[in-house]
Amino acid sequence: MTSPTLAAGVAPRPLQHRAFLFGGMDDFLSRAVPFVREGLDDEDRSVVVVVAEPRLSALRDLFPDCADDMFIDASAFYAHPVRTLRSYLELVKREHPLRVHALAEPVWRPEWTARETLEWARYESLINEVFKDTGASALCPYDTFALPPQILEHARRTHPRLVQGDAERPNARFAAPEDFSAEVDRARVFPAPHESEYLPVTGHDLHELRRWVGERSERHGLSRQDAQNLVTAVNEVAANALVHGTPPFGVRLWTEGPDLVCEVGDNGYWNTFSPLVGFVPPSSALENGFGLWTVRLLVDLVEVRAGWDGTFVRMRLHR
Amino acid sequence: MQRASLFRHRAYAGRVRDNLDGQAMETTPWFYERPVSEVRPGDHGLLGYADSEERDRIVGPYVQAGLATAEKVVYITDEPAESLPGLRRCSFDLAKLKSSRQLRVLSRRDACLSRSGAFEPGKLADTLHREKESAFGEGFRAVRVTMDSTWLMSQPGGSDAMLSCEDRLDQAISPSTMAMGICQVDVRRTGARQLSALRESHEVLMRVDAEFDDGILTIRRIYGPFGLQLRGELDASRHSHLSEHLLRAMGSRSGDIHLNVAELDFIDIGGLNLLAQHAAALPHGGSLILDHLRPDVENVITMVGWNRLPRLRPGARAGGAAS
Repeated sequence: MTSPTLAAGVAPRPLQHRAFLFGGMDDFLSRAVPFVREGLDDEDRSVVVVVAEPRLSALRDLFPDCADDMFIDASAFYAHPVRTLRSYLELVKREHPLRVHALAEPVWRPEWTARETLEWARYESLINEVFKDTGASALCPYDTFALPPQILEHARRTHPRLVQGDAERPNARFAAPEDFSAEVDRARVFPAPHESEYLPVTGHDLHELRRWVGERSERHGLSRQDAQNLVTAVNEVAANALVHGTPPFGVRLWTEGPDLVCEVGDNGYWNTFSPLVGFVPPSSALENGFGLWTVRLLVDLVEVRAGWDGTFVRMRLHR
Repeated sequence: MQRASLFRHRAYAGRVRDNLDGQAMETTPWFYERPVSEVRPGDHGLLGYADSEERDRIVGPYVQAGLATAEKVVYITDEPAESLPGLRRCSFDLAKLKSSRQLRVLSRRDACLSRSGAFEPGKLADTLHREKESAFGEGFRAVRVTMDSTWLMSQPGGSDAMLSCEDRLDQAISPSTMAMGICQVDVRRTGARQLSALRESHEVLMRVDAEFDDGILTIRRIYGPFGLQLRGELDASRHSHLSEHLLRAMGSRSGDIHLNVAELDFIDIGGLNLLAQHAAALPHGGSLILDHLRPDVENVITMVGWNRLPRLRPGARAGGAAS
């Protein structure tokens, strides 16, 4: 269980992260097949293919000698951006010292809200940060025939190199992960709920808060496990606010369509806030940022708003 | 103590043993677990100890509580009074206690052996009856009896002898409004079958007193395996208490430390961090082992990955025998 990526004395190996803008199956295969073959021919690399159907089956048929577990259905892999990033990191660690050579097609769903789409764009951007020294190579296919222009624009903002047709070129529109994440954060809106319940947090004992959140989670139809996860997340954010924030402290809870939303607020100004905080998986529980990262794993979406009027952490779970 | 739980429908609510009733029988063992300070007349308790510290932490307070109040203590042993748990380096005047008959240290020969040295259940019954009957006239409000029965194992027909001994004790104590007894057995020298037969003949299992209990979190030392039992909810307000008792436990033994978390309803993320910090400080590569983790509590650990909690390991699975 050692950290393989930064073993002592080993020079960091840069990440290759490219967006592959293709149109149609033939165009896809003309580039994807040589990419997979390149990885298979290099004994220093471990190949993984995470793409959506029908492209997954097409590739599988072209590489009949390859182990079945090399092929992963993207529609199952991309379920929750923070968890997917964690799983990817586990994969990279497991394969070490081999370098992961991934054909990785992010899934985009038309039913997603603008917010969810942005979080997946952020995920693509975070790849640059999280895997920067692993020597991994990722080619991320984007279907230009099917995807809306906004998603293709995200692809250009989150990949330092672009592959299109026969050409590969550096991408001038690429934004550093920290900048892109800040951009994503600026695009958020925080509508005040029409109706909400509020619990002021006055003491340091959070037992009552947990009970309050637990009862409401159950009443609003969260599963037992989701309720426990939300309680754990809210408890962590509130404990953190009590240590670092400024009174008054409080928790607001409401429903928004299919979601249960819980926001912890305090009056303090989080002046060291970084847009990447809690997104990069810490290597152990002893590292800074473990708490917020765990909170991000436990619920569907965490939005931190550190403004002049206070610090607010909004946690959202699908009911 | 009845705990307020985070959610209304706790499947494990029946594990709170203090309000044992017919409905809770499915999830509740039929015996009570009793911290030594809560022992009461009519209790015939089994103390299966895994080491002498555990025995001393139960028998000591049991004996002392009796001597500190108007209760008679009957200790059947061949050891001298000064070396017994609760009486070593104590502030009691043992000679005075003996002459007032408040402390009765009876040898096995006097209490329960025949002339030839064989265990005689009938003689034990007579002894207990005599001590109990005289106590009231001597001005004592209750009688506390204890005996280490481990030696019976080496007697011919050891198990049967021990069980008949238990029968006698039970007859003498359970119906009584003034007698209580603790049978001590060294579990390291007792077979699994003998131990389960012994458990069946007692309705009370003795436990050491909690080291910390604020109604939300209970911390108790456990033995076999050695460590702490955590009940209730662990959060930032209680980290320093856990830290204190964990450090004490770590200081008294080398090797792995077990945390029995079967009845831990909640652990906060800072609590995981705290456990990882202490695990990292264990000497000789020892681990902190979490036994009987409930799935809804374990979820947060599987979510972050055990690999991010170095030297913290899952132990016995939930639902296994409580230690």
